[in-house]
Formats: sequence, structure tokens, C-alpha cells
Amino acid sequence: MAVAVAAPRRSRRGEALMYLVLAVGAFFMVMPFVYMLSTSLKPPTQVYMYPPQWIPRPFVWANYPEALARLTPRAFLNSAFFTLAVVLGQGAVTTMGGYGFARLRFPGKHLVFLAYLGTMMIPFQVTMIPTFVVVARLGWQDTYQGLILPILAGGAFGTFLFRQAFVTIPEELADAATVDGANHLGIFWRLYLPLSKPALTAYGVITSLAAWNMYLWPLIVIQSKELRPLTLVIAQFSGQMNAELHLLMAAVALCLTPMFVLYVFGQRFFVEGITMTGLKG
Amino acid sequence: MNSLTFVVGAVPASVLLPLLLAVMLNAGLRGTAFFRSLYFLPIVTSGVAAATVFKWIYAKQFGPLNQLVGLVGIPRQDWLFDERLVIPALVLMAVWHRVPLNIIFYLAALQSVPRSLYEAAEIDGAGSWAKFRYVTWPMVTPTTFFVLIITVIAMLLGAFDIVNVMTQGGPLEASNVFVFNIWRTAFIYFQYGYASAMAYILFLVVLGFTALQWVLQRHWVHY
Repeated sequence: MAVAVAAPRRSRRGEALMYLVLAVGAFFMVMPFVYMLSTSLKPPTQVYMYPPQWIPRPFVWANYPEALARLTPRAFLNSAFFTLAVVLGQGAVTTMGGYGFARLRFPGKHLVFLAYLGTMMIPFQVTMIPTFVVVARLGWQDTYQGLILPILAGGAFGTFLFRQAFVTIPEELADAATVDGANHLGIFWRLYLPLSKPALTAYGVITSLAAWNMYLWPLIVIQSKELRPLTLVIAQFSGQMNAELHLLMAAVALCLTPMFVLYVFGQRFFVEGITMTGLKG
Repeated sequence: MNSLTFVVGAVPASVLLPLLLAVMLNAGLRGTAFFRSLYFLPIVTSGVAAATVFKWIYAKQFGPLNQLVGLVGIPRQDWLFDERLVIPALVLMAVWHRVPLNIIFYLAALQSVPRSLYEAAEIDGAGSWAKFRYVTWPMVTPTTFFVLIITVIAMLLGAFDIVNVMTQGGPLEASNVFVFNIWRTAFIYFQYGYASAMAYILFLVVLGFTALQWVLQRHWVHY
């Protein structure tokens, strides 16, 4: 993000007012996280006090291991596996599709590309029922492949993004590589992908975020306990653990941790990814 | 109908607050990077996680929101179980979740406004408000238009996570928004046909909203 340029003249009062507004806004933005962390560290007796005690006394760190045990490490692995599969799978489909649309010539290319773009106009919530029926007919209900494969087919936006990125690469580079004996796969892998790193990171970060946080589709496809990703487990706990709020909040905090870590190290990539993709509808 | 109230309630704040905040975050104040990091936190938070926390923030007996409104003398409310309050409560959370994203779009737009325009305005004696009104606002209208469209669509489609975790459409169907209704009809009542018909209507509504905004944009968007 570019460095903002300071306006040369501005009144002290104006500046103080801006700080005030920003601080009030920040308070509201951060308050839910503070509440979550504070509750997650409280002993059970302190959770249901009114007015709420914001500082736990004593700090009960043991809430965290217990919350992890309740969530089960398997749920973490499910979420991680799902996220990885979606990022790599959709990455493969969209980058190769983008290459095809950017560099190959075939009859009806523009028509196919338009049809691809057209699917972006149709929200997932509209097609989820037929998609589920297809998955059920395949006998893939409650399986990893039923969960993952339909998501890989929804990469129209990524295909568009990578087509745009690839089109800006001068054709002469590809021609030179062809003269040196590279085929399409070689050009794609050794030339186009390395030259599109900004688009790749942006898309990767945003896709991981979307996959890690996905709720509706897993809710429809997955029934058995062992296959559920974290979002499903949390949503279920949310209705059940009313009497163990401290553990529930610790569980939520644990689910947020991976994306928070990613965010701390790569805030720039999130910002770039969002400006580039519009966070995918 | 509940969806409509929800969208009408959530969209204006989700579009205008980010513009205001982005202008301030772009003013070159000290500590801007710190504020930005705080403001962007909700982006990496899933709807399910946020809804789980907010459900308890809204709790009647010991929720922090009641502590806050108590400071100005309002008695404790049962936010999620009161037919009149449930949509405002969901709107508040949806705005909280949406504002940071839209700030990012506005920041990107503000940073591409040429510095020379502001200098020219200053030479003409423009104050802060005049600079905003006659330079910033016209320059960001295309972004505002984009933000408006995606926010309307996101509010129409995205409320599912919040509703399913926080209220399940209750109390007395007061928060039964469109997508939640489709999901429940299809996957709880197993009426696929009926739910699919509803999904078609949802699609037409989204399409209609987008088309309407395209028509209206001619009156206020400057390219």
C-alpha cells in the first residue's frame, strides 16, 4: 500500500477530531475480539457475571487445551486439508484455464469465455441445490471428494483473473521459448507462472481465507462427525455450549488463529488480494 | 421481506462509514498503520466465528452490549429474542463484518486520486470539506458504485451464516432471511423443488438489483 501523503496545512482541532473518530471506530471493531479473549481465559464462575468482568481473575490458560480437545485435532486437519485441496486444486484449474484463454486459439473461444464469465453472475446460493443433488447421485454425500470437487468447478473468477494477468505477458517471450523448444506446458510452468507471482499470491491468500471460513457448502454435504471442518463444529457448539462459554470462546479463538497468523505476516497480501478480487462475491 | 429490511438497514452504513474512515486512514496521520491493522481484523474472521461471539455480546443477562447501552441509561434488552430488535442486532453485526472490506476498496481508490487535484483546489482556496465534496467524492464515485453493488449482493446472500448460528430465523420468523429460508426448505424440509424455485427468484432479485443500480448510476457516477 502506497504511503499516504500528508496534507500540508490542517488544523489541530481537525486532527484531534479525526483521531477521536478513528479511536471510537477502532474500539467497536476490536471490542468483540477483546470480549472473546477475555471470556476465553476466565474461570467458569466469572463468565456469567453482570456487569461483565473484562479482566479474568485468575487467567485460566487451561481453557485452551480443553477447548482444543473438544474441537478435536481431526477438525483442524479437516479444515487444513480442505483449504489446501481447494487452493491447489482451484489454482491448477484456474491458472491452466486462464492460460488457455490467454494464449491458445480454438474455435468458439470467445463464446466459451463469455459463458465462463456469465457463470460469475450466478451466486453459489442459487446453484447449491442442484449441485448437492449431483453430489448425492454420485454417492459422494458425506465424503471429501463430494465436499471438494464441486468447489474446484467454481473457479470462473480465478480463470478470468489469470487470463488478464497472462495476457499482459508479451507474446514474444512465449515465441522465444517455443523457438528454444518449449511446449505449452513448459511455457506455462516455467514462464507464465513465475511471471504472475502477484496474482498468484493474491488469489492464494484470498482462496485460503474463503475455504477456511466456508460454512454453507460443508453444512450441506457433510454429516459425519469425523469429516466436519471447524466452521461446522463451532456452529454446532455455538448452540450447545451455553453453559461453557469460556470453552466456546477459547474454541473460536483457536479457529481464528491460523488466519490471524497469516494476516499478521501478510497483511499486504490480503489487502492486494481483496482489491484484486473483490473477495470473490 | 426480512431480507429487504436487512439489506436496507445494513447497506447505507456499510457503504458510507468505510468512505469516512478511509478518508481519515488516508490523511497521513501518525499511527495510521496501527489503526489499519485493527480495522482489518474482522476480514479474516469467519461469519460463523463472529456470529458465535456476537451471540453472547447480545446476551440479555450478562452481555457487554447491555453494559454499553446501560451507560446511557437504556435498560437491558433481549436483542436476539425480541422481534423488533433482532434485525437491527443482525444488521449491526453485518456492518461490523463488512466495513473493513469496503475500507480497503476505498483506500485503493483514494490513493489513486492525483495529488495535483488537491493542490489545484488549495490554490483556489478550498477547505477540507470543499476538497472532499468537489475532488474526493467525484473521484471515488466509481468505487462507491462498485462497493454499493457488491455490498447489496453480499448482504442478500451472506446473511446465512449469521442467521443460522445466531437465531435460526427466529424469534417468530422475524429473522428468516431469504437464503436461510432456501436452505431450510431444501435441507431441513427436503422440498428441493420449492427451494429451487425460491433460488431462481433470489437470482432474479440479485440480477434486478444490479440492473437497477446500473441504470441509476448515470445520475451520480463520474468516470
